Amino acid sequence: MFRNLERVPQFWVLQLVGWGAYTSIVSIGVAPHLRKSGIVIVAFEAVFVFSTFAASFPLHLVCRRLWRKNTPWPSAMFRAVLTSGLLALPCAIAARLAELVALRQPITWTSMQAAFEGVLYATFIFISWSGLYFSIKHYQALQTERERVLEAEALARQARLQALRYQLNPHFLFNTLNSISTLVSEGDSTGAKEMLTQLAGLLRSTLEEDVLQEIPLRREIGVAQEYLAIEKARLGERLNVELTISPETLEVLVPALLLQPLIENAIRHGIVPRPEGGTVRVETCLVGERFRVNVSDDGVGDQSSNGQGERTRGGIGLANTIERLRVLYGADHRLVVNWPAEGGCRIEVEFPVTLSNPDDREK
Amino acid sequence: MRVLIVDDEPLARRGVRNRLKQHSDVEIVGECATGRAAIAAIRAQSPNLVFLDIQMPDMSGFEVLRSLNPNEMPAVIFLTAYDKYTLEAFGVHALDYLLKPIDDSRFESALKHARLQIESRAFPDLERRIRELLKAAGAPQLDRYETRFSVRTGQKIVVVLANDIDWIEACGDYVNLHAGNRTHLLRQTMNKMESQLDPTRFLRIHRSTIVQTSRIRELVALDNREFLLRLADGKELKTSRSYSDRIDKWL
Repeated sequence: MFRNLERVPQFWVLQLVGWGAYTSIVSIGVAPHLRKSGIVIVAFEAVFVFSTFAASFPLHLVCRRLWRKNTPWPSAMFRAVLTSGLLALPCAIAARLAELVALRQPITWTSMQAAFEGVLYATFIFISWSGLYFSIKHYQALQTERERVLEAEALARQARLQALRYQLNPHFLFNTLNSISTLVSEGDSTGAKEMLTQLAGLLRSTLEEDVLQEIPLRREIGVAQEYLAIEKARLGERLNVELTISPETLEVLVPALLLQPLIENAIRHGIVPRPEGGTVRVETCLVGERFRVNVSDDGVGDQSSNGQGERTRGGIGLANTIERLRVLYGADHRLVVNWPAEGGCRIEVEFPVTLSNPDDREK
Repeated sequence: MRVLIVDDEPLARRGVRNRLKQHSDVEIVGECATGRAAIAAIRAQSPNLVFLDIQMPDMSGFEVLRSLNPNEMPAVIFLTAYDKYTLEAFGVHALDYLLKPIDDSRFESALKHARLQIESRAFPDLERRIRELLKAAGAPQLDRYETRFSVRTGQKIVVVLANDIDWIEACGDYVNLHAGNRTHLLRQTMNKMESQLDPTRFLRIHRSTIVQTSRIRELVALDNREFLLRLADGKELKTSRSYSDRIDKWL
């Protein structure tokens, strides 16, 4: 509805501007002949211009009908040309009549034959008019289509983002609650409170952090450390952690919750299945203009099984991270997962460096 | 009553031990962090009751029970954090389980129930129910998938073990089985091939490629939801976008 309202004036504006321009050009063309032919040429051109202008309205009706009915283009072109010719005839006749009257010449069959030139000329004008009409219609349709596609893409993106909201592994959550319950039953309120705070921090990050937002690595390391503290409490001696964070990377912007799922992946699938445990290493560095992070474990690799013949690697965390990196950096990132023959798993992520705003940095 | 506690997390074991302390008739004969240690302890100590975690590093609680002989089977209270399907199975077979974090009153009633069973020597019944559960929990159905393929080459028939196959390539009406540095041509369609292989080990990555996941040494994320896989022998395979859902699931 709104769109129609918007388009009606657009038609009138184009119509008036077009015909106005046409009239001006004709006037300029007529001017030099005024002294010689005077009223005759004015009468001819005035009637010609006005009648073709008037005829453009029925032409509009025909073209609009062809457009709305989605007529295939050869047929639409044929009909538009035919209509142009038919409408040109009365225009040319009217103009010639006016000219004859102005010349005070008798209206005869022979004198009217000079109108033929006018028919060709008017036909050409109408064909141009309908050509413009269809071009504009096509352009508008294309524009609408493009908008629709963009809208659909935005919706799809949004849906994908919603799906990408990272969730804590329920096993981890319930086991942590169980650990806290043990600490409480032992009267270790300090330990229990500490673990509750860490869990709350982690929950807050996964619930609140927009996973497509970028945060300084410093903050992301904080989240990872909260997570690691809980895992250390649960797994005890079995889990070793080595963080090697290059100081120059601390203010690099990284996707929120980049590290935690990667570290969890390493712990769940590399360390937990090994009774003797293992070490998780996180290393960050700058390589030229790019940020690189490595998360590796020396635990079981892909080829190991947990005795049930079941594969032990994988998990939603990795697919989720891969998808997010794609959305955020497009082709401008690198993610490589490596399973060395000697066991363990190593994930390397690399993307261009953007530093956080110095004003936002905490001291 | 002789009790064994099996859980891979020290804090979880301590939780159970603390709750048992209030019962003077309970003697804790051991604590185990792995399934293997649990089997050994059950055989050595023959406890009356085992608190058994289901998710453990080396094997599941079910597998621990599966490897016991009928006469070794103790009464069992399962411990689990989160597993909808397992819980349903417990309900069906009227077996006791405790959800983490452990609720004190549920702990007490489960313990009471176990004590009654031990005293009334209702073991055969209990043992039968556990066996049924194990059956329902699904012994790995290895027989559902092919473990070997017979390939005829001229007069010879070569047997190719599924385990030896690195990757499979479609080749018209045939598939090419790449195993080590040999290839075997088998008259089969890719879809049929895929359905015959254990999906936990073999992954369809392309209309014309299946790969054994344990052979993958490196995975590089490409744009457009595609990946480049590098196998142990250096062979590079590209995944296709139309199979990206399966790959995501595997990841």
